[in-house]
Amino acid sequence: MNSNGLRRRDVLSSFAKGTALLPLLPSRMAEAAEPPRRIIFVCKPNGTLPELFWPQGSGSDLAAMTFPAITKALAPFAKKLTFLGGINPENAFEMWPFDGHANSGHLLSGRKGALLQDHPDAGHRVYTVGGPTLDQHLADNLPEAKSRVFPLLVLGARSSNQRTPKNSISARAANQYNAVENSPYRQFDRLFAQVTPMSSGSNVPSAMDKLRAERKSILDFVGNRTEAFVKRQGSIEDRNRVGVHLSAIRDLEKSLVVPVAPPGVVCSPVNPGQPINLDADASFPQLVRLQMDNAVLALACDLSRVVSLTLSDGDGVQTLPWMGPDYSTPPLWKNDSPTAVRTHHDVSHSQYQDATQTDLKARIEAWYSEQFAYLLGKLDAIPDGTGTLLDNTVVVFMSQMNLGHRHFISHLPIVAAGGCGGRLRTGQLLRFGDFAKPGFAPTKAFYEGSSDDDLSKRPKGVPMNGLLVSLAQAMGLSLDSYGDAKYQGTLPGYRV
Amino acid sequence: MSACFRFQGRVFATAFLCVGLGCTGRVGGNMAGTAGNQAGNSGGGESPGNGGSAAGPGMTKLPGQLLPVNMPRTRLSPREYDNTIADLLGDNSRRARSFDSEIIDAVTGFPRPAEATQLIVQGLTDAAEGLAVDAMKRFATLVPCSPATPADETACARKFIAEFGRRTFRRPLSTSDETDFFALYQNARGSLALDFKNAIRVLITAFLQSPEFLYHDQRLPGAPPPTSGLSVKLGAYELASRLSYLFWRSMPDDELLDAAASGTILTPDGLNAQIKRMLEDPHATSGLHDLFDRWLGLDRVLTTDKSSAVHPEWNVAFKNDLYEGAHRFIQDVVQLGDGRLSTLLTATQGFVSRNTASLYGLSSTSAELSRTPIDTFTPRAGLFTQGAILATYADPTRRGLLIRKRLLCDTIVPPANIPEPPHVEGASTRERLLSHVNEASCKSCHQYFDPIGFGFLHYDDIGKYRETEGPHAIDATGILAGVGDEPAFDGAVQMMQALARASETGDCAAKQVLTFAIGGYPEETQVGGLRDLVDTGDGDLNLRNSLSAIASSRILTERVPSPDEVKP
Repeated sequence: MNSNGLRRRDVLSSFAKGTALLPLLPSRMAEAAEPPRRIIFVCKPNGTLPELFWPQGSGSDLAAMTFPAITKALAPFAKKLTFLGGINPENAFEMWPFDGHANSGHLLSGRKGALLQDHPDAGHRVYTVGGPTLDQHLADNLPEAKSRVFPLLVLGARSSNQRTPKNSISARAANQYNAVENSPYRQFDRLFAQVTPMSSGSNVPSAMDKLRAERKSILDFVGNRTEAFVKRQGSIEDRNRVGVHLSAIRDLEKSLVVPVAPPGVVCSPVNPGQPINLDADASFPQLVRLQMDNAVLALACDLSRVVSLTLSDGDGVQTLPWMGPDYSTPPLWKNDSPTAVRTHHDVSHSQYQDATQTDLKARIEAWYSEQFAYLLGKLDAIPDGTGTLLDNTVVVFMSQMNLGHRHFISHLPIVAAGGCGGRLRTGQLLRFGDFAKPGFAPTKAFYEGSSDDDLSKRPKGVPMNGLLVSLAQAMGLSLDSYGDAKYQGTLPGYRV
Repeated sequence: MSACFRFQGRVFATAFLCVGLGCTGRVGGNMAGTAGNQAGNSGGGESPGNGGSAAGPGMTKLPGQLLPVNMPRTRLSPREYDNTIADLLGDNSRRARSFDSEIIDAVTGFPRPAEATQLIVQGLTDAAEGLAVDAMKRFATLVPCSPATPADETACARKFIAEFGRRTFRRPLSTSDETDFFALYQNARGSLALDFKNAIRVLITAFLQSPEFLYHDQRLPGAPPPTSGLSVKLGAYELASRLSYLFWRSMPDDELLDAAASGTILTPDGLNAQIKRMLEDPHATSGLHDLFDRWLGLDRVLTTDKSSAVHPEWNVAFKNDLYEGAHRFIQDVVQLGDGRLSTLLTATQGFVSRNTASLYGLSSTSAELSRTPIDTFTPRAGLFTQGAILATYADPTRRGLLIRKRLLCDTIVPPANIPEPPHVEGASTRERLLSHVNEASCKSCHQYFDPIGFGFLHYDDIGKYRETEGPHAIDATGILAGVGDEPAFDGAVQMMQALARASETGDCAAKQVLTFAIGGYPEETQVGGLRDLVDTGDGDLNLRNSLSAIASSRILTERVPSPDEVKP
């Protein structure tokens, strides 16, 4: 590079331009007995309109059902999908009543959370996560996931409102949320500063190699200095505080020592292009897709086996300029400022106000499904083993709540895609609790007549824990419960 | 469901029942566990010992003292990082916000640095790399020599390490520090095969990631640990940094470091001379900005959005002028004016530009902010009736909470289940929110702050004055419950004047300034100590003198060791 030295983005853009034309790496699938299994968790805020979310028709065969407005974009993947009707985050009820927006920590932890503190601004309570979430557990306990450059990739699209922990679905321990990478550019840099972008056989001395050596020398140095600094601290509290910093440096160092690209499947990184303004609401669609691209890239290059992706924050307070002029008017329900342009949150609060409001809600939820379909399409386009990357992955798409306007959490809207290498049954709508009753339909009337607050009116379902156990088993862990031990067993009918 | 609400220093509600946790201690000293630096932990006989008493209005106050506190070694805040980088490298790119973050402390309401997670450390690494690359453009000003021979290069590198190191670490490098950094330089020249300039770049990258740069800790390595729990005087370089981060939110300049080197800063005259000099320095304005941004969340106006259909004037330039206007006003009162808290709360001048003039019913032709009476056409009194605050805290509940929490230091912990405010077609704001006072579960909390918010009803959600709210007449009357003799008011001007007279306001301001200075809630006795030092004689508080009073007192010049730090 020039005399000004190496700059990561310059390096990356030059390499990405070059490698876009390189031949694809040889597939290792031919030699491997079994393609790796991967998992992606995706969460979006503000619930749904159940009557326009769940495929309509009797039985469980998705091929014979109609996909309504919100999930229409998923219809082409019907054979690879599993809709999970009647899942309840039971542990959340133990803490009832609370704010459904804060349900993020219950989704993947399978444990009761704890009240942390009052929110500094408003009256909402903040609940922390009660233990490690499943993504973290898989990253820690599956040897093949743990040995990746990124045992766990925690991605977000404007999800890190760091003032409340309710926006992250991923935690390494009770009360300790994982930091979310919200910049697709930083994430891209991070993914590909770690691998030598050469196809096998090529031996061009790479600017990236030099940069990596320089970084390693500096990080070694800084790590040693920090270690000495920690030792100098007389107070335990200070020592612990700087100790966290030190272990983060050591982790960074570790990720730099992987010298070669894994002999992965298709791995052709594409420069994510000109940076967009990550803080602008109008950029949100691009941001979501860039992060989905990163997730696909990380799996395709086998840099990671476990990814979680949180779209927006737990309240979903972005405005929706890309949805057109209907969304540029003041909200009926006032979330923040009385005259702010309506946000996803506001739209959700008014979702049953009248037909127009329901339509607005349906359209934004359909948009989210289209993004999910985009992710599935990308995964499904990459050959892997005898099928596609999607076939060897399971992607779980969910929201913290069911009905947006009431923060109602029974019967969470959850749809999974991909069979995790043939270990999960797809092409079906699995019905549990009330969903399994003859003639049941997830209508507006049913949910409007229900209540989370009143046990007798609460929709019947099965604990979320069963889903977590099924997913963990499909990924290769042998366990019979996850999180709260009082909920044992898998989700009937899901594992093959 | 009952409220968890308490007025400053005493429990008010008769049926006081806490839901969940978080309201077990008095507002005063006992709840600062998160910051962990209250004097109550100090031990060693220094503890004032009366921390648990409640000194509310009407009760006799004990004479206060600004006793030292424990001083945790925190990371630079994002703003401190950016300011320090600007002074150290002449680089104003201010990039910390893009990777670093702060947590709002649930007890004090002030932001504090987030844990240094891998993501933040990665951000620090990326920033250091980028800043060092950009610093190469200013190579000649940063590197004190231009070597012609390899031998010169070695000498120059050593000189650079010592000089740049002293400014980066905010203390002189020890011999072993110098040896370490020189070894890094040699490695860059040797196995990394870099030229002189790039090896300097590697050194800068490493300096910017060093804990001595990133943390508030200027103790010299090898200094003996404290032998008792009694408070100890800060070393000269520790003191220099505490002063510069208190007044400037940035690193010490060369003069301050020299005063530390010569030891003059440790003498009372030397200290006072530095304090005077620092307060007159333009950097002091950044310190004042930071105090008010942290105390009142003034900077939040910059990220507040409004509907362009309703408020076409609301744009980035407008928001900037509201924000800058508020800060110019604060500077005008605190630095240039009489410095009194009451003036800040009641003064009728403001700083208005062509953008923001219409908010106050004025017409201004100047694009620049200029000092103008803002109550000519609309009633105004002080900072809380200016656009920056009214637009950020846009509804009565938020406005009431702001006054209660940040200006009166009352504690509010909401109950567990909070229903949505009802949407009643055609109702006025007051009618809609009065349901808070009619429904028992809401009333238990909202009765304490909504009525104060109603005092601001004449200002819409960007702070524009209105006689009526649509078809509704505005009722902005109320009483200041729990404040002094609970004066009645009609509108914000009367309310702010009553608040300006109330001793609770002065107590709270003293507490907030101390919290800003020491990073956690002070003890009652320290609040009293500060009030005594800056009292104007009529119960008011002099804000200008507050920071210098803190700076020259033991609370800043000494520290209480942690018990586990003591090696008898």
